[in-house]
Amino acid sequence: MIELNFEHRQAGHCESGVTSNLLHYHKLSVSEPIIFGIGAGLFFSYLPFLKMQHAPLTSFRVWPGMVFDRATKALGIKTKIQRFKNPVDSMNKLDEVLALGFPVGLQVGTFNLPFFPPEYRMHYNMHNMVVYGKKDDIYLISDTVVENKVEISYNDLMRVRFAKGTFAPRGRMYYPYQVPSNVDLKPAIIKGIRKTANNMVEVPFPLIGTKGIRFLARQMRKWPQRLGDEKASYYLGQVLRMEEEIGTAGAGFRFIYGAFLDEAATILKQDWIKEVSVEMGEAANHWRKFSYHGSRNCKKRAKPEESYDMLADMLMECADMEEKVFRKLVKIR
Amino acid sequence: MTEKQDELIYRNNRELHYSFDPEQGYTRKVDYQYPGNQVIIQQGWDVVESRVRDVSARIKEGKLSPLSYYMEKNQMELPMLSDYTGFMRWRIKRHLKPGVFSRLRPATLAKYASVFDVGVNELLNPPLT
Repeated sequence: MIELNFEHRQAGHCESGVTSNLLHYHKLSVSEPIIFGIGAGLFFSYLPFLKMQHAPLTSFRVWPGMVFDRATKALGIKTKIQRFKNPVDSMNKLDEVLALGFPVGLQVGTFNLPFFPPEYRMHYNMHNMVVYGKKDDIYLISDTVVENKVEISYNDLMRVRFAKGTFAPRGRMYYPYQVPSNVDLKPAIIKGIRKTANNMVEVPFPLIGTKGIRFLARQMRKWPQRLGDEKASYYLGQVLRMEEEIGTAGAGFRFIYGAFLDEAATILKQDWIKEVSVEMGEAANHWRKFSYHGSRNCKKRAKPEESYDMLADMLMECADMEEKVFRKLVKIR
Repeated sequence: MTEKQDELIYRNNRELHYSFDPEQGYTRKVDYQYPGNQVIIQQGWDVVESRVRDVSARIKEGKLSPLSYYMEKNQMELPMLSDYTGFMRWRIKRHLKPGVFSRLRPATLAKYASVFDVGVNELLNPPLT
């Protein structure tokens, strides 16, 4: 039996939270927003040719796994990341690493995750959680979405680690094994901000960054005529689910990113970033307003002015606000 | 932004939420998903349910095999089911025809049953809605 002294802390975004908690175990205190910012987690992409649950894929953050990789690399932390072909091998390796005294981060699918609130059990393969111990055939889990520590059986764990479909985790496990006790956050923060700002405003491709938001807005205007009311409402719902559902900390990660800028301003001692963080917060609140009116539309309780046109206008405004934020941030040094 | 008449649909778990207020700056609090968001989550499940109802009707008409019921119920599309079973997509597509499905070998049925986590008997006679 192994039970590591792992502190369970809830988080807004699973991967950043897991990373922050893992480092905390190794006595390095870096907050969740800082990890998210250094890992350049914020993003936007609208990929109508990829369908998820029968609706176009909208994403508010980078590919899964990138936040952990980038953040730990930028901080000079030594990590081990592994994927597996054979499920039994992956479980043996997990046991081995636990026995060495390292808590382990796992990428899992949520469809069969027994302790997850039932309303979230859709096929979603980019969830992250930490294993911090084992009692006989039961693994001890800290999941940043769930209020308390939880447990999972050997078979269930193997099943969720080898969930299939888009972004199949293929048993992916990761853990830091050598963590410096003191790190210089400044260069990492600047690099992270530059990366995100670049992604959001500098990439010459219409489907990502603020251009992507505008593209989505233009498409959205046409949804009711092109798709009919029911399907349009479902497409809209899908955008909102990606924006607000679990693991975003609200408003498609915009709040958490703003909190990052707020902390970054203090660490870098650059006051102008503080002002930008306020603008980011206002953009986040605008996204929140968009999803509020959008959800009323989905509930068929919309007032006539809460039409797709109005929602598209709001999206355009979100894009403008974010463009302003990232045009400033791209010049950071 | 919450409204009084909006009842919470889901009260299974509280999560950490961030928010921003020009006066207070950034704050964090642990709470249930706010009502507007719960509506959106429910919409997702309503659509799953209505798709299950649609295929149920078509199974009763004899136009689809029970396999389609479990695919919708488990929200699996061809590529995903193909990954889980190891069967080629075109083969699964064929199995959606009632005539083909009723002649499947026990081993094939057992594979489907184990993926959907049901007994073979249940696989052949889904609880249609």
